[in-house]
Amino acid sequence: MTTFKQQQSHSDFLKAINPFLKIGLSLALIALSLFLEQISSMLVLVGGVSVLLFQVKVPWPLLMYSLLALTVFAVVSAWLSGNWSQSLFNTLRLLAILLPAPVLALTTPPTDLIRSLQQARLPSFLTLSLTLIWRFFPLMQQELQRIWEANQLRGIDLKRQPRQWFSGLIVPLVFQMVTYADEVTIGLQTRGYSPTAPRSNSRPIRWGQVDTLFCLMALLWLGLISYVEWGI
Amino acid sequence: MMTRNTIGNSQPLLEIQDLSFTHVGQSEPTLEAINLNLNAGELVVLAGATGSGKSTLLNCLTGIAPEHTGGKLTGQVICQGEDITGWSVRQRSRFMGIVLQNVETQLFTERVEEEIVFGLENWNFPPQQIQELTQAALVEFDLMSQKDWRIFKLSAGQKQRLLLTCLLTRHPNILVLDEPFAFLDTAGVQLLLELLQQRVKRGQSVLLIEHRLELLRGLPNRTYGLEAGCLNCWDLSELPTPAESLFQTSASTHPGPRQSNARIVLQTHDISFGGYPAFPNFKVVAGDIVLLKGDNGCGKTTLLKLLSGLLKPNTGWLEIEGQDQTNKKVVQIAQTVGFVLQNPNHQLFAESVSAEVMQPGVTTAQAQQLLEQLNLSYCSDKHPHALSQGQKRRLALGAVLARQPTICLLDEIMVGQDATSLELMLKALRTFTEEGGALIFTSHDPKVATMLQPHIIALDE
Repeated sequence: MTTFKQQQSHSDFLKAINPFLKIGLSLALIALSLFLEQISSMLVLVGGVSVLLFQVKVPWPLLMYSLLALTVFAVVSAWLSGNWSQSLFNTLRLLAILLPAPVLALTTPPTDLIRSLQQARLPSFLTLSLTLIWRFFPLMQQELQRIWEANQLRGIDLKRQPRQWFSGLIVPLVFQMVTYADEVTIGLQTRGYSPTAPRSNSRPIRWGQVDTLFCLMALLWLGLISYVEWGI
Repeated sequence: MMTRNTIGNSQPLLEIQDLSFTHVGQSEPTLEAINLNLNAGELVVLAGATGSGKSTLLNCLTGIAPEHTGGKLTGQVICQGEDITGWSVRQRSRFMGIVLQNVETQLFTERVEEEIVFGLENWNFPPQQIQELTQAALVEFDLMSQKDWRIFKLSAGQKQRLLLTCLLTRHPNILVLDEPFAFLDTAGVQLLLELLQQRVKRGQSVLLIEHRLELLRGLPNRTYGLEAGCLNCWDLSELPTPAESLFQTSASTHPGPRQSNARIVLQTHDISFGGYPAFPNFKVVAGDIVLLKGDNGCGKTTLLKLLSGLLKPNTGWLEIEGQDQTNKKVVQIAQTVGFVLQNPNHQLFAESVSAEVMQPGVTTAQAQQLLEQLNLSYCSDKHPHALSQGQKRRLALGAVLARQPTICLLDEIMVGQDATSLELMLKALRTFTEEGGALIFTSHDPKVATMLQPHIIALDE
């Protein structure tokens, strides 16, 4: 049988990192972004997150539209406040709050997340909710791309026809997400998953060299942000 | 005729007693007083027209209805002597291996081996046993070389096979399968049939929902048809062969050999993409019907995406109506090429069935004619997403044909269609090609090839 030869992902390094380490770093970055007051330190923070984001394959159209939306946000807030540097700072802060979640979601396989939550003995309802949410991120990305392509196949270029966004993009996406929410819950049950039933863990997540390396790099990064902001 | 079957004296593995189900917002029941026994070592087939209630019966049996769908269920479902009517899907899954129509929502991990492990961990198997069972499954189902493959890159047929592997690793007493042959290639169908026969010999029971009954001749112990909410016993040997039923209406309309002066609408030149071997060069002329044939994962969908412009080839180029398409955008190519995707949900955007077909340049009369051709005119005011999966596929086809493309690409859209719906769909396609359109499609269903008599392009030779 002639079949497609599968290739390795570019973001395997981030996937190998302990999910708790990634969650911890994301929370630290979001918290830090709320305290930073200088644009240079915020640039170091957002720059670092962007480097991580580029490890993940984000579709170009999505990236371009996100940048466009951010530019519109920055310009409108600058126009309203009359302060360009403050508006740039606010845009960077928004990025610092929004970016860590997709990086975390797209580089953490659902099974790793379940395993780490199991090990942390978190309440079962939380484990199930997070598992479902985690399953949703890549699905949403996939669905968005498929719907975008379906529009193109009908001769609709959403890039040039924003008026079609509601009927052509948002409605089918919301419909797909609602349907998937139900189907994924049923699917999990057919595979025997239950948040309340005991579950074995055949591959417990252990601290590895790659985690130590990531930890050191993260500390250096956080240190650099602090140095630029407070000189310490 | 309602039936109550009890074969042998042993206790049935599964009993359905006087089961009725009424959907939310409906006054008439979809299923009425259904009685069915499933004994150990039996393969029972459930057939019926699209929308006859087969999936509803499966939902009632597996606990999906009414827990997740709402509605009113009366009667009993008994498993090995125990009333399980009030049990959840998960509780029933301990005894039943359940394969639903959309297998994508039953797979949760990134890679093939992880998926097998995931299911076993959910049932709290000891870690050592999980390793042993996983390795055994990889060997038994010939997946050792694919164990690190990423699941989202597998074809629909490969995903279906993987899910079956995951479920069979635990050896459940009962297997409930909803159209498991839909996306499988010939080898996959053969493999699954052998597998089911083996499992039945070992004493497991199989309940199979399937439209392609010709695949199952001589295999099932019993076959039932759902008609108007009631279960009737069917004799597979008395059913007409697909060739008989389809030739009755279409034997005289088979396309003849290509004319030497026929207009070439599409031509490929040394196209290759990603990890696939180079695709063969081929020409398609106006009025042609072309079937892309090959095993699961050989690149049929990828080739269709290349032809539609959704993917750009790594090497080679594509010519449509004499023009190089290399620098053309998808929306430009879409003016001449229509593409009906595997999953119709992505392709339906309008607020009603009729609005979906009424696109710019389409007259009301044309839209109505198309809806009638595809047996959708009776639900023209419905929202497209309120239709069944089979109806959605017909509507997605109608929406593409309405735009009168020069070339129409179809990716496995014939699955889930009963004989009547399939015939309607194929007739619409026949009309399209008779009017000069070119059709390129993928399908594992031999009925379709019998009916359309296509030129075949083999992708795995």
